[in-house]
Amino acid sequence: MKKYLIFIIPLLVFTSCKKFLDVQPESDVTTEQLFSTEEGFREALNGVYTACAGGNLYGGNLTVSNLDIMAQNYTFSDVNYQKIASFKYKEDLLKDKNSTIWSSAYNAIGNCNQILQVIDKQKGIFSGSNYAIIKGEALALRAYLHFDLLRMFANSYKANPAGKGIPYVTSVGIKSTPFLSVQGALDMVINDLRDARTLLSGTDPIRSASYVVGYPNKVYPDGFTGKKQTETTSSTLFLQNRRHRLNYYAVCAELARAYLYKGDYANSLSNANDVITAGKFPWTAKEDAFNANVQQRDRIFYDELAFAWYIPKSNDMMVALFTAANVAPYQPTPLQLDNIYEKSSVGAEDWRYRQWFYTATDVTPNRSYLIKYLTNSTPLTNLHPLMAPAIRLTEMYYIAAEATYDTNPAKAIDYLNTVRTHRGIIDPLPATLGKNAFVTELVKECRKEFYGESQIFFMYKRLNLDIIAPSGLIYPASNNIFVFPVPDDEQTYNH
Amino acid sequence: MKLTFLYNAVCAIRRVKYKFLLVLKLTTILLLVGALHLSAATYSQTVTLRGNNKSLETVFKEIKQQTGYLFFYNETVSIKGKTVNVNLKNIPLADALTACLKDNGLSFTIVDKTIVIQNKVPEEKPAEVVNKISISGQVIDSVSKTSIPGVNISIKGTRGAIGQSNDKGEFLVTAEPGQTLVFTFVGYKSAEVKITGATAIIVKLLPDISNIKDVVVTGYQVIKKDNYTGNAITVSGADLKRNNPQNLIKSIQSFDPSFRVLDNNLTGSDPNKLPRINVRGATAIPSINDDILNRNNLSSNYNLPAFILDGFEVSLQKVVDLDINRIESVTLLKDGAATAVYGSRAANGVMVITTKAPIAGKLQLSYDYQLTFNGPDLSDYHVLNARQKIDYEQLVGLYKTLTPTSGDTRQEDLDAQLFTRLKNVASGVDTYWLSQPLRNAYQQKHTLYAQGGDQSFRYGINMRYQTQPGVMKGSDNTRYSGGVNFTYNPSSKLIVRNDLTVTQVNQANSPYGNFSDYVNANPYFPMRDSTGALLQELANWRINTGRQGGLQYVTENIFNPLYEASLSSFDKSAYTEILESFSADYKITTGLRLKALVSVNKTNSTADKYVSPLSSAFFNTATDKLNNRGSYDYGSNSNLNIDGNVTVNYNKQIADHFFNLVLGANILSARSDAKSFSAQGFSNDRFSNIGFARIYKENSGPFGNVIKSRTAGGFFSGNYAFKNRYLLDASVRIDGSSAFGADKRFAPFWSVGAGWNLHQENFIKGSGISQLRLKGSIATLGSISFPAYQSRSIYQYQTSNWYSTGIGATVLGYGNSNLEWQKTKTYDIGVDLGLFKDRLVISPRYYYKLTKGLITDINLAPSTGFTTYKDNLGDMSNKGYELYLVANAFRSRDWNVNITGNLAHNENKIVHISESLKAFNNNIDGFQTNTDNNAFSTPLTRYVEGKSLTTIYAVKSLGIDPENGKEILVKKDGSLTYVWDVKDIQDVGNTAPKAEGSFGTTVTYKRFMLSFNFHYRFGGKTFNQTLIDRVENADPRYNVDSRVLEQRWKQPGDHTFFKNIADLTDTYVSSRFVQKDNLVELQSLYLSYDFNPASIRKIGLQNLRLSATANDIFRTSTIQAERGIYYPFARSLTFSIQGSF
Repeated sequence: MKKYLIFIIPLLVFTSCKKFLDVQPESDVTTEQLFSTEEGFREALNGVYTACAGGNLYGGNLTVSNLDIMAQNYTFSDVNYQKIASFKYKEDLLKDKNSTIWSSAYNAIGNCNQILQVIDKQKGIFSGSNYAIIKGEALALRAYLHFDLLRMFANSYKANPAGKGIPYVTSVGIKSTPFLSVQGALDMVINDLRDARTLLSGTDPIRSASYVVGYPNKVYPDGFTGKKQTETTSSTLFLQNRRHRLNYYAVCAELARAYLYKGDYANSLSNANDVITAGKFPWTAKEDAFNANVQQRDRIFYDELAFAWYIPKSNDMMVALFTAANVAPYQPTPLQLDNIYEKSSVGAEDWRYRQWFYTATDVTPNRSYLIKYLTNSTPLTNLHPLMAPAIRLTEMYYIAAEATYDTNPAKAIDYLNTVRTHRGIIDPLPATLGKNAFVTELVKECRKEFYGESQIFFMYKRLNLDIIAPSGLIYPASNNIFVFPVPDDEQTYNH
Repeated sequence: MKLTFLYNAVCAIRRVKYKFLLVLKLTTILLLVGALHLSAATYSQTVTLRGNNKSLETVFKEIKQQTGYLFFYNETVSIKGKTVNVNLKNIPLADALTACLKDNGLSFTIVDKTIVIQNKVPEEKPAEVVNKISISGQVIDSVSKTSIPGVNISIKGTRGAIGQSNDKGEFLVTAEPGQTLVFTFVGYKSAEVKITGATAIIVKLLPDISNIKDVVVTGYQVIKKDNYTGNAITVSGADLKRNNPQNLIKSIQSFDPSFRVLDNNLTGSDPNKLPRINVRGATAIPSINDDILNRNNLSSNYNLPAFILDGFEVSLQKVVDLDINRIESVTLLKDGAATAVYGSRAANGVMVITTKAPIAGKLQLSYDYQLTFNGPDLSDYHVLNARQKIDYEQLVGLYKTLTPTSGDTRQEDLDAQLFTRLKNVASGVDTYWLSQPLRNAYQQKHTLYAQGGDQSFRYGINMRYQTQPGVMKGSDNTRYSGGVNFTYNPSSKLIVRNDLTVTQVNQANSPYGNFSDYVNANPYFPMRDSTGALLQELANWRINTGRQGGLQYVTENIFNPLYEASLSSFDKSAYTEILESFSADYKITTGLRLKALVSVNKTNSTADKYVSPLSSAFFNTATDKLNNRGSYDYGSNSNLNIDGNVTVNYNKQIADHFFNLVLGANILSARSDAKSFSAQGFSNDRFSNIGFARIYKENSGPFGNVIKSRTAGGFFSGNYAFKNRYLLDASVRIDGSSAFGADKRFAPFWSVGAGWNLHQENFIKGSGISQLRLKGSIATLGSISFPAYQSRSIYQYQTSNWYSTGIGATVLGYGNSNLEWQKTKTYDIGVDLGLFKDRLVISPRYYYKLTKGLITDINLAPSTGFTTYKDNLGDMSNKGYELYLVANAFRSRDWNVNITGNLAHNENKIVHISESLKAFNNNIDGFQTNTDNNAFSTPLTRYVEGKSLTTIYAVKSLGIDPENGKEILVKKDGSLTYVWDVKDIQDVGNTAPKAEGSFGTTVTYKRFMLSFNFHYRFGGKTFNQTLIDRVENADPRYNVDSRVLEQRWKQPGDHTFFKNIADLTDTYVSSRFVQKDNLVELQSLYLSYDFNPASIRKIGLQNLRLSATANDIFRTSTIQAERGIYYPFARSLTFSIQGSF
């Protein structure tokens, strides 16, 4: 018997080996552990937003970087920035930055796909409408990121729908996804967004009447009887601040954008109208934009944002880029601003011109600083957190205007005038503008509104417009300036 | 004998206590006997007694007078009032005693010269008593001729012992003539003696493991070296200690040329830095995310051998902190046959360490004291003095403004600076900064060891206190350890052993900072101001950075490094380790044994680093952040390792077939739990406790990381010999590790080895060749030193970066569940040749190792969401040879001269690598050319198929053009240029030497022993970093190597090594600085004297040895480079006194 025991002991060791070697990490979390609870899904979704709000994407590069420089919003003395402003895509500086944008965006998409590949199997663990919210947002994020990549790294739809697009990635793995045509990729974007809209339409708390948009730090006067904001009142942190995530209206707005890119005016208009007519996003009041108390002043028109990224971590970068004394590299000349905002004709009282810039006259030549993103450092707080605007209510008016003009020019011009009114421009546009004049006015308006937000570059590209440098130099509209080269790594390893 | 209490305390087991008392009694007798031995020899062996009613006491007294024999009896024997009537004349003593005692109910036994009186046992049958005779004698070791205490004596064919030898090896038993006595003792072969008569006998026991050098301890087996086909180097603890009493790791490399402690020119002789080790070349490519850009940082963790201490795996730190006095032997296993039994851990070799087991006998105390003098070795530093330095600065134009634009320092300010410094020099300021942070350090070590016990229970207690202050002031390493171990064999079938060791190690890094700061400091700066207080800021420079706006001009402060040391800042760490191991060895039948071993190793370590608010690091703190000055970093780590194994050993000789087989299984579980946090905001230099901190460090949070890893495996290993001629080793092992993908956890490893003992064949016997063995082996091995969770997809929580709607988690990377072991295939052949009765032994070896499936990063299309993932792709080979020589050059009664030498050569080659590593080379190019990284003058590691990991990459240079003092460089296409281009970087040499090794001699003369050991290497190349950094690129604002003033090009026609002295542009890495690396150094010199045991016995000592060892005292090299950049190297001299009583 003893002899048998000797052989049984090693055998016993072996049988339990497989289990013994399956070590579960304690301070790290594996995919299986994370997606075994609803909280895990929420954290994974928040993770995508955190990644997107980082400096590589919307907390930096995609809001206040190359796209904004290429829109000729600033005047640089630095050679490197001049290279960017003149579309020298083959320079290492631009290559590196584009490569970072590409890989970071696909990394965020990968994180969406991690959620999407398991969420249906785990449907049973969700409470309330969280399944629909999380899945809807993950789909919308995937589409949002792909759409921006498509707008950067492929020719515009208008130029050539069959041109080489981007890989539309919907699975997790090391196998690379082939490139689609621009049209193919755009259709995928629209599909995902439509699915997201369906999922969110009945479940997103923002659609509820009790959800009121407003400033979290607003001090309401005594006896205030209006609607107070309820954005931060949910007892579930995950369901607060819907406008910081891809809510139902943001998805509609993104759909309006995508349809417009495709030239599908009808669908574009109907989605833009969903946002405009929802009445969720009030126009910024003048007393908020011009409040004498800097802590109660709103420079970014927070209430009008249908969707924006929460980026308090980017504050130091914003200061370094725009407002650091003497060394801030992103500075327009006062003359440049006067031209953009048409100071000599309609712009002198434009809120944006007055509130977004500060001109230092004690140095020669005079410098202007963009103070749109200025926050008051602790212990002083702003009216709202530091945000990177993603989709504004005004953009829906612009889209509606563009999509309407062919059928109803007067209505289109009315959309534009509505925005101008709420920006302090007193003179309305005449209701009889010709198509070209209308487009010119629309682009001028967009340029003013999107200053420091990068969207104007996409508009130039979509409409195939020449880009004019502050010096007067014209960069003719072409794929040479509009299409970012696909990074070398992707070309090499995407088989 | 005052220490008896200690013995009693340990021997709680009654049985043991009883035996002890018995031993003690006999000891008393025999001590007395010994004292009287000489005079007693003159007494007669017959007695004459007369008288009636004589009391027994009187009779005994008379017998004692006549024979010199002593009487011994205890209180149970009553002789009071007992009388005899006797009339005996010249009767033999025994007959006389019988006559006297038979009517008094007493019996006697004669033990040597002592007569033991006993009560006659009534139940004893008279017939037996009559037949039994007393046998006395001594048991000695047949080799060392020393006595063996505690030997069990039994009668063949009966059960149970009838006696034991005492502490002098002497024994007294009774038995019948014709019976056979069997003498058995652990570690010895049993001996049998047939009894013929009552004579004193000497029994010689042959050690079972006669000599450490004749066996190979693989950790699971002990195999006769003669029958072993593997490649193993075995070194005794005493030899190791003789070679280097301070550093076990450094000591071993003298015995095996393939075991290399890599030079670390940065950390020098810092007592708190772990060595980097390489055995037979590298078998892994470091992860490209590691900080491996600089060759000096090339991580060798992946290439570490496995360390096995008494059967279980331990860390390198444990080996470094091990008390060298505790080591019985160290065996290095390198090839497949030797290491296959460790399978997954063995790709880089295995170092098997056994510690001393207690020896039975009377309590033996030994004490060892070491005193080491450690002195810094500054012989490679040649810096300018104050006068020379100012001359040099003026020569390079440091006091002339180059571009007289608005922001630059004005000429009058520069003039003022120059005159202040000249005034300093004139007034006698010539600070020798180099010596300021250094000291001669005195290191002490006390080791106390007590051991004793009998054959069934033996114990050992050890204590150690060791201080190892380094040569930089304040750098310190203090070790305390204590341990208790015992072996207990309740029956001849079971041996139980238990070891418990507690170690405390305290480490402190020098508050003086980096040694390079002192090398750089200008000698014309005084250390103190006129009041005698230490200066904080020595000077400041206004520098034009070439950037824009406010960043264009920056002020660079030159701080006094000594000022830092005057603050209360500290950087220290400590750990406590509890190591408990228990083993049981059960003999099932003859030759078949079951062994089980379990060990638990618990280590708690802490690290504390405080930087005073007054430190120069906070000199330029913004005024609104003044309350955040001072910082404290705290970290703790708790490790728990559990290691268990079970083996069945079978050891049998059947006719001419000899088998040594082992079947076993082992498991290993390791868990490390690290936590750390940082605080800042200290008000006062002296209030350094973390409790005084104002806040946590800005933008930081607490950190925690738990790493768990497990391995499990089963193996079979067999060693077979036929007639001691034909040898076969084979092993197979299956190992599983949690680090690998769920689908690839288990992997098989195997080895086969064969050998032929030609010297056992008749055609060799008697030919003068005493030993000739051919052997070879093939094996596959693995290694597992990889991150614990790399085969899994891990989510990371963004704890310090919450989104407005909650915390986010993002996936870190793609977990490759197909990740598997990287495997190394090894081929090894060797010859052992012994001539002239083995007075000359030569052992050449050749090996080839091919590591396949190297775990490296694989590039992915970024659209997958990942840029790289880990996979098994890449092959690397190492081949080389080794040669060992041992010669007994001269031998006489008083003299013995041994000569040893060894040599090794290794060639590393990258056979195949992944695309990502190739792409990595491009990144390296970028890194090298970016001056912000300060790497333009350092050759960086690149990965090229067909090249080696030790290849030096630089641009080829033809030297300095005598025409213009510029460097002539060779482009990749062969054309010449003056312009350095990173694309022209190519292979310009290899640091691997043609050969390296050691040679030495041991001379013994009577009780003196002298030995020395040289280390040498030749045929390799080295990039002389000093020449480029400290001479050619020397920053004239800091002190520089004295060669800057010599050998520089000054005018056309000068044939020089260095370029134009007026050329202040940076020199980039080029082959001009690649030099031959030939080296001879005296690693150790040892002298000892053993006192004559006879002369020291009077003062109660058994042995006493005085010895002295000098380490690293001589060095000659073809390279003149500064050594020990952050911490200087040291020379040491150790005196040691060792005694036991």
